[in-house]
Amino acid sequence: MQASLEKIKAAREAIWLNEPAGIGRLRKKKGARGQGASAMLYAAMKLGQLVTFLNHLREVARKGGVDLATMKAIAAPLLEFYAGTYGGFYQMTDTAAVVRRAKAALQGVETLQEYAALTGELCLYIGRMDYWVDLLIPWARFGDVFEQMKG
Amino acid sequence: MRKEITILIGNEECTAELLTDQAPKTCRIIEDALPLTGVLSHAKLVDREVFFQVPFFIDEPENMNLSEKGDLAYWNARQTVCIFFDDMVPLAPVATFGRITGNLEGLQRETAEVWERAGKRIVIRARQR
Repeated sequence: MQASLEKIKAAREAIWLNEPAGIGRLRKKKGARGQGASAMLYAAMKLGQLVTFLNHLREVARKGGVDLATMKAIAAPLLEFYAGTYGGFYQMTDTAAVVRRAKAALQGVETLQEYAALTGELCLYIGRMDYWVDLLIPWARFGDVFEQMKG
Repeated sequence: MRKEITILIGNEECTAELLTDQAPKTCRIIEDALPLTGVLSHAKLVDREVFFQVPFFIDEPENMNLSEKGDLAYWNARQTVCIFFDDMVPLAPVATFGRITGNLEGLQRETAEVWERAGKRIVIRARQR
């Protein structure tokens, strides 16, 4: 578990100030009708969802008084779902690999404190990815056009 | 003793006071993490707020206030430091740990551009006296 935690932390540190390769691939993705806006907006949504889940799972584990096996059973399918999502259409394959590493590490988690550490570290990494995607979205112009479209 | 930090964005350097009386634990965690380096984004719902992610959690809510111009706060839902650089309508109370005390105007010049051009770097470090 500790080795996986260190690798997730290293992955997070590697992308802290440097744009990840997955962001370059996402920048080129096109959704319906050959436009890329939906790909980026949906990617941000999917990353933000997992941050929210991980934040809450970490908090529940941190407060204690819950069953570790159940906490693992909740997290494992969530992580598999989001790993598949990130690595699929969005081509954020490095992110998918980090999420799958965390899922595999869950098996070796023996205490709620370890569970909180693992979900917390993954939360920081996914949050960082989410904010890289956020930078791809031209919010100022997007907002202007949206207001014009509303009429 | 009053504790101060320096905030560097673009060409501007400004000073902030850590609110060690109101938020002692939060300030200690922030101090221990210095220097902090991040990438700025603009808030999407609150106007005139920029933020950047930090690599740690602060789990005990402290000095939870509705923000005012010049406040620095930590938002645990996304592990971000928020800078409220001008008048705005805050969404909810956040853990307020600092207040800009010097060169707010310079900070405003840099942060106001973040809505149009996100991705500016920010560095926060202990203030050298």
